[in-house]
Amino acid sequence: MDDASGLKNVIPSLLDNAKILDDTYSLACTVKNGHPPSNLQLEMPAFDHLTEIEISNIVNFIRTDLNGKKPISILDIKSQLNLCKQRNER
Amino acid sequence: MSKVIFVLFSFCLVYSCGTDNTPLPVLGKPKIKDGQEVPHYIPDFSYLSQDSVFISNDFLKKHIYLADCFFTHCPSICPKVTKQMLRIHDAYKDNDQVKLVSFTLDPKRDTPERLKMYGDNLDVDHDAWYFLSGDKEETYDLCFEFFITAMDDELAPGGINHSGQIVLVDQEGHIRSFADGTDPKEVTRLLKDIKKLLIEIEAKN
Ligand code: HEM
Repeated sequence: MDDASGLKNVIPSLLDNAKILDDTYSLACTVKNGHPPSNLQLEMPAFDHLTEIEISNIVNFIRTDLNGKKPISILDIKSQLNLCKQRNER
Repeated sequence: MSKVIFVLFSFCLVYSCGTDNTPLPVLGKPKIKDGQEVPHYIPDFSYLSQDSVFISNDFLKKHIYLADCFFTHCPSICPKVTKQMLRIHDAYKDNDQVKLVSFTLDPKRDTPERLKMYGDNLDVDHDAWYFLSGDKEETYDLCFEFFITAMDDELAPGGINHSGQIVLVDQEGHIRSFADGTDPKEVTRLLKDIKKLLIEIEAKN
């Protein structure tokens, strides 16, 4: 949604989201690979056509503008993406 | 002088000067029925709801309703449209005169059970908002009667290309207004049109 508020229990909000606030969670991997359905039938689609720089911009927009957190460097994003590629993590 | 303006102003507050009181139009091209030209109307349908009961246009004649065409797996515009349908739901869920009707374009996956779960995840009142499934081709044709285009398209996200209007239908099955369901501003206008239609019905009774 335009305001990042998600859709009830169908699509999670990107504001005050526990995973986004958790620095050990890789938002970059979620954007690239999507998210499997947990509470429900829906999965989040992968955005694997995005470049590392685009993913970095999205992740940092969500971290800083939406959630008031510090940005993370493109190098960290790169290594996260390599890790989730290896583990095929979503 | 200022008194006069004040009086005029209060008059306007009470009688809503400036809001236009023309009735909502009947939209669409006329059809031929029994050799007579009649305004466009939604043809007969009967679809299974999330509670596995048949909902027909005949049943809906007791109500006015808002219709859209969607599917739960739709990754593109549907969540936005659904969010706007939710706005209407939240405004009218306690008013039995107004129903919401969402037709799935993907009945293979969107079984009544699944649609029930979807509705639960949206916190909707299942007596106010019907998620309907039926024959796929028939649904595509029916959506077209609501001026909503839908077609299979491998290139479209989710495999189905369709438009996201929310359509207001009166008790006679005529389309009286619609909005682009991805645009909250348009839906604000649609909410006003719903009110207008309810006033029109009130005046008739
Ligand atoms: C770049 C934009 C996006 C970002 C950053 C993002 C981020 C996330 C995150 C962090 C999660 C896990 C959250 C949690 O479990 O609490 C998630 C899950 C999910 N997202 Fe996204 N998302 C994006 C776009 C989308 C889009 C466009 C859709 C749908 C059309 C979508 C649908 C979902 C769904 C269905 C889930 C899984 C919900 C569940 O747990 O069952 N996301 N997303």
